[in-house]
Amino acid sequence: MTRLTKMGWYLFALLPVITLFYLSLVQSWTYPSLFRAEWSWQQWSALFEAHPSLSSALANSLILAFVMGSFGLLFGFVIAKELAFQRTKKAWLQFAFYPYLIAPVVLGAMLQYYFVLWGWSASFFGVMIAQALFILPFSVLIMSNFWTAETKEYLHVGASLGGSPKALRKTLLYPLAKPWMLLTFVQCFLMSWFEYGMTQLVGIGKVQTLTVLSMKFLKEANPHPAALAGLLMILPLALLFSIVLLAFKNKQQLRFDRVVEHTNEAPKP
Amino acid sequence: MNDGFTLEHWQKLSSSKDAWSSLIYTLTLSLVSVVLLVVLAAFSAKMLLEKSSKKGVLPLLIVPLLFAPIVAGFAWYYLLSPAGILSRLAHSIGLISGLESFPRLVNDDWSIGIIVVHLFLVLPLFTLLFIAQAKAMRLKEMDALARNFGGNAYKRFFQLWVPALVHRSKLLIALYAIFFMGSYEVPLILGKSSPRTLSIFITEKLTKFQLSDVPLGHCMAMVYSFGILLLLQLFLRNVQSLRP
Amino acid sequence: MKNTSFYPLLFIFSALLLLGCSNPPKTPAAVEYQNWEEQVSAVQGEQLTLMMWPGDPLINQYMQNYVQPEVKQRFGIELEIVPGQGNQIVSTLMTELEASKQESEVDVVWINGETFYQLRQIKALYGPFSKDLPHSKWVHWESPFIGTDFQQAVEGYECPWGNVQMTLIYDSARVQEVPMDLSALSAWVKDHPGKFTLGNNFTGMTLLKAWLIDFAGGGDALNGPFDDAKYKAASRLLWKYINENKAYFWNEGKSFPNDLAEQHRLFANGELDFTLSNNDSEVDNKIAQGLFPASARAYVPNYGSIQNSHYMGITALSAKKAAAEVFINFLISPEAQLKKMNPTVWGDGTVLNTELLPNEWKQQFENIPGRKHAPQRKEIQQKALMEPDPEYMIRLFEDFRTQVIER
Repeated sequence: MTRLTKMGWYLFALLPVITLFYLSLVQSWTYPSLFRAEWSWQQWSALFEAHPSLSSALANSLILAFVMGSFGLLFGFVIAKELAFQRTKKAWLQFAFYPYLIAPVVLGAMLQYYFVLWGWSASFFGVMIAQALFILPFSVLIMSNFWTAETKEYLHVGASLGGSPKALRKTLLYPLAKPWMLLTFVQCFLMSWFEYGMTQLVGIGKVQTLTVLSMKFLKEANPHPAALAGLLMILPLALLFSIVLLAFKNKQQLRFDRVVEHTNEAPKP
Repeated sequence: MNDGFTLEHWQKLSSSKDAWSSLIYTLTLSLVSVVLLVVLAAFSAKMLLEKSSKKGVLPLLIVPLLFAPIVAGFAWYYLLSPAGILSRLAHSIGLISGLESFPRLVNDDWSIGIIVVHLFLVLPLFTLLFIAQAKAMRLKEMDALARNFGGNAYKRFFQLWVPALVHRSKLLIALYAIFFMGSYEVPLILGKSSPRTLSIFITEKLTKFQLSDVPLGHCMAMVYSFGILLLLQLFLRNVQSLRP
Repeated sequence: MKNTSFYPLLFIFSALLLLGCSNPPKTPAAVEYQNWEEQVSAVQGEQLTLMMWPGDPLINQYMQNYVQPEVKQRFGIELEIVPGQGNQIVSTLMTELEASKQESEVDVVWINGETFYQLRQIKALYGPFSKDLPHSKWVHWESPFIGTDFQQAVEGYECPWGNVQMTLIYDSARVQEVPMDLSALSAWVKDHPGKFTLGNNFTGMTLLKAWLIDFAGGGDALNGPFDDAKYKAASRLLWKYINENKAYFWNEGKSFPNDLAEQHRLFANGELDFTLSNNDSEVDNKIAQGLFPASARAYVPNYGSIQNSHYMGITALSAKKAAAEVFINFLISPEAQLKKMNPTVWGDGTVLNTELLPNEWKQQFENIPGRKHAPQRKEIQQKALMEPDPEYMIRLFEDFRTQVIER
């Protein structure tokens, strides 16, 4: 049974990746040809020559995601810390839920008017603000998980033992918060990376991210470039993840399951 | 195009069969996805907690996190559709005679495709979470104890594992139920023309050519937001009362 | 403190309430130039934004590899292309008008039919301009399929860019004899269940319009302004026909493709034996792309098919109207039109009256490398139907959902 579950997982997680690779390599794909379809590297080789905007879109995506990840991390850390010692914490945390709960498509359609009114549409800045609207609150939600009664007690004990605020931050606060900060960064990074609706709506297509560009392919009739576009969204991420994983190999702070272990305290009201 | 304040659109909305069926469909779809999510995540957590079985699978659980919903929808569409990869595989080994005899798994009556993609996107996260929680709660030890008292496997799973895990992650489960309710691209690719999810209903009303329908879309958006708000309020209160 | 949690929603609700409560702003006037040469040299270095439907790789390539570099080199115009069609264009421009924006983010839009009608209604289009463009003298304005857009006079508020006729595409390897009328189609779907469908989208509705005209008596039965009585009578027959047959449509008529791309993919896969196209030469370019099988062919049934044109419009709030005019004038130049008409490039019909062109151009138009599998324009021209009033399309969209999809 355990082996079966494992097999199931392998298939479930890998089949879509294999599908994308396969579709990006075949042509003239009429039923029922599967392995005898026409194989070709054409989609891959045509990729860069046909789309000079590809590298700038990749750069836009990376910058945007890094900025949102870092801001999310900073914002989440500071605000969650402030909230942790507030009596009204619960009410404030509820704020953070709403932009995340309303489907981004709907939220975007509702707020487009204001972005146009304030002259933020079609600009990088506007897209950043639009993304921040739901990424920043979410970062607070994640970071506030860190502030359990236990954490506060540690800090309290540290302070009563005579630790200076600086020493406390360095020896206690940061090491304890590290996994959470990492999780927040990764989550915010991913949210920004995948964001399409708002970016398209507010950016009016002028702020091209990799996701916006890929979406263009995904909407064309030809599934083969579309599959490649799908991979295009996944590969840079996979690369980034593996670099991070390799760099931090065996280090405590990257034990994903440990981080997740605490999520049971999930956004706590 | 604005006739001032009127309740007409609200009346139109409440008498629209289309609107009601979208609402009911969205709620059902989200509920089914969540129930399956919890049961399957609990099951695979239980299985993967067996000795050394986690190795090799854990990094794999990261893979679906790299998929945007639309890409996942696209890939699964090409796996499950009648002319898709699984159907071609079945044909090549002689299981079916043609694409007509392949069961309908996308754009189907039971929303199988949509549910599969929902699970693909979220199941790994929940499996990891449940593994961690089961360890923290020492569920394995409790399971052994229950076995000693004669509980069968089925009973142990549904009366010990599932309730214990659900209880500890109630809020996160509620969050993902709402996430499923707002799902847009996945039902667009894998769903039927009718009934459709609320987010498709709303965007269609807001952007299709019938301008007189736009207020209807706004009304539905308000109903939706308000519903979620109420749900959350109820839920937050509930969770609070559970804590000592 | 509990109630604070309602604030974000209050904000959003108030945003909703405010929508539609503002006055239209004044549109920036176009600068007057002494003559065309002066205008052309004045627009050097301007950046122009075009919003267009991005769904076809060949069209995208024509724009990226030919139009963009040409207008840059000839006029110094930096052309930026952003995706968006029909309702997105309307909602983008409407939001700008509602927010009393001074300058639009979009200068030129690719439109026709309903979009043109709605943009005119909300006064989002600049004009009249198109008949003053130098190349306009060669445009075939007299053709009812070019000078009239869905029964509305163009009146200079948009400039024709291309002209196409709808065809049905089928796989000749799988379909031996194509159904030429609706009763033959009904018989065919019963023999081949699951192999035919029409999309719940523009192209599907364009086919439905041809069917509606057929039920209304054929030919010019629906010409003129929208007629509710005519619509009701003909559409009753239309829905009856579809509901009687839809059990034999793709997926037993329980679902219809959302967009044309989806229907093309189903056809390419082999799930469907028919797909539709609003462009009579599309079958050639989709075969060339390797998407459709080489055995794909296109035809027009006896009841005819809609022929229409697509147009370029300039937004009322554009700050670069002069550059937009120079750009559009280039698009209707014999050179750009000729290139576009080549089936390996795009295969879009020209809007120019080639009889009026200077001889060297006229000859080139006559010698465009031929269509391979698409029907010849002259053959299908006699089956061309005019676009009925936009209201017919809007009603068809609405009723298709209530009368067919939800039944």
